[in-house]
Amino acid sequence: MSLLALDELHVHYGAIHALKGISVRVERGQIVALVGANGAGKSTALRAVSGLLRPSGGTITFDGKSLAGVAPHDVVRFGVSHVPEGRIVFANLTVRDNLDLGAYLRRDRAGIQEDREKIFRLFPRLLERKNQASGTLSGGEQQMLAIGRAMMARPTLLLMDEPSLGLAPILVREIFSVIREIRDRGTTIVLVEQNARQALAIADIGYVLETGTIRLCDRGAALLDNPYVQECYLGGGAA
Amino acid sequence: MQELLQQLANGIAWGSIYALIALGYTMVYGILRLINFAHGDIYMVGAFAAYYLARLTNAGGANPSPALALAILLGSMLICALLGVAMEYFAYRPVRKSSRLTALITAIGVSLFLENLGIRLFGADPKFFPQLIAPRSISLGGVMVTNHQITVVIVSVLLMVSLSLFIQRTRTGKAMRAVSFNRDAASLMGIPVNRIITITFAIGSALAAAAGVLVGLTNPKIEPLMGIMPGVKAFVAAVLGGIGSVPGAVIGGLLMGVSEYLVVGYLSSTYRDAIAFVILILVLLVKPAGLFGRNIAEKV
Ligand SMILES: Nc1ncnc2c1ncn2[C@@H]1O[C@H](COP(=O)(O)OP(=O)(O)OP(=O)(O)O)[C@@H](O)[C@H]1O
Ligand SMILES: [Mg+2]
Repeated sequence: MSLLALDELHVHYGAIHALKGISVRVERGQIVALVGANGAGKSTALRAVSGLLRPSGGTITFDGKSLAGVAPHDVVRFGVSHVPEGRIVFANLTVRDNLDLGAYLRRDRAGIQEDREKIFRLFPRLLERKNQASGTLSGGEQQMLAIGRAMMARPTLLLMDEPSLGLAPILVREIFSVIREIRDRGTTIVLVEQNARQALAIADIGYVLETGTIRLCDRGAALLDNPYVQECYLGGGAA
Repeated sequence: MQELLQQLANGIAWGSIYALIALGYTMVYGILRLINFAHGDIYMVGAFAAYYLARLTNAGGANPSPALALAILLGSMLICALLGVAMEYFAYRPVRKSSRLTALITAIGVSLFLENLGIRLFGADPKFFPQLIAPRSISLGGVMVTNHQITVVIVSVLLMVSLSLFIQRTRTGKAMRAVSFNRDAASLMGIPVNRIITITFAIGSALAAAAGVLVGLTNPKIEPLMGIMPGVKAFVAAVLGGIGSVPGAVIGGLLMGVSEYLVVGYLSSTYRDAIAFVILILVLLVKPAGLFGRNIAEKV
């Protein structure tokens, strides 16, 4: 059984038909990349899984249980965390408070403490700034905080929406290596990216989304070699 | 000098009441971006709830008891907390996804409803609030204050300090700040946004109730429309402090109370109510974000 399965998922924004029946499978331990142009519906798909949007048709099944109509704060209880597009760290709170809010539903103080330290090891810059208002962090640091905050819930599945957006190349590499590390420690990941080359390079499976429908689905490496993908998403030329 | 200190003392006691009301405005605004115009009426209900609780328990008059006064204060705060929760649930929640204008009109409707319900239930004539604590005048270096004024300041300070510790330190307080920053992002943390909004209304309304009880202590005439003016002034206080900011509401309330008494002392009591509007216009002209206005929250 897949960890996450979207079947014939439809989402409307009023009259706009943003997802037109997409089906996606995510197996445990995988990194699944969702790539596509602006407006393809990538964020919409993640927002439907985490309960921020209500699908107009189709099903979302997580670990055998339906997520249809489940409120976002309850989806977190199922073990799904979402790093939203644009990070949205709580700028008015400190770095440490942001991390603690990530663990909002947990009561195991010792475990929370341990996970906080793990995140500080993963992102030492956050440790240096732990009492700083998170609105004063740089974009890259905010992205690290957003990832760390989501990890504080100890999710089974992590949804990441464009974690590399607006970051300098060195930082992009750092973020991608962290994503791989998170997966290696046992968290399954759905990665939405504009940066198709790097996303497909670390993905087990990739989906190419075009205006609300799935155009292609294959192993990440195979998509990198696919002439159509190269033409449209990798800026032409060989990978 | 003596005169100035005297007006300052009166202004601080009176301003504490504005500050308590302003806190509710600012908290609700912070979390929903809604100006809850019915908030002044909650303060009125708080005064009446205490009035009836006092009658029920035979409090005040010949045998004032501070313990009973405290119980009445807490009882009134609880009643208004429930009223605030009901108001949010029945009036504001259904229009939460509508435009701000709809919400604003709803708030005005709730306000008119509470005022007229008050007239119907309590009668339009003023009632005399029982003396829960026997009045006494105390001279502090020549400045005359009453033990009622001192009580008002002490109770307000205790409430404000507790509120600020709650918001800064507790899990729920942090969740409130997260929800006020971004509701969707907060819900992705597992924070039950609706419950946090309910708690915000409960706390804001309980603080308004406390203000209503304290005002009954110092100005014992209460009537169903008593919330209108203080409501408007506390709103101005919240704007002056920077709406959405908790310390701003406290400072704004105190400044408002003090400037009123300075006007009374040095100009004429005729202009007492006008000063609120002068302040409002000045703030809007000079620093619309208020003294402690938050700009980070609006940037996102
Ligand atoms: N709140 C909304 N109201 C109306 N239409 C929306 C809303 N959000 C998204 N859309 C529309 O739905 C479609 C899919 O949007 P979505 O945000 O999922 O795209 P995306 O693939 O994440 O794009 P990007 O890479 O630019 O983030 C777009 O056509 C967009 O205009
Ligand atoms: Mg997007």
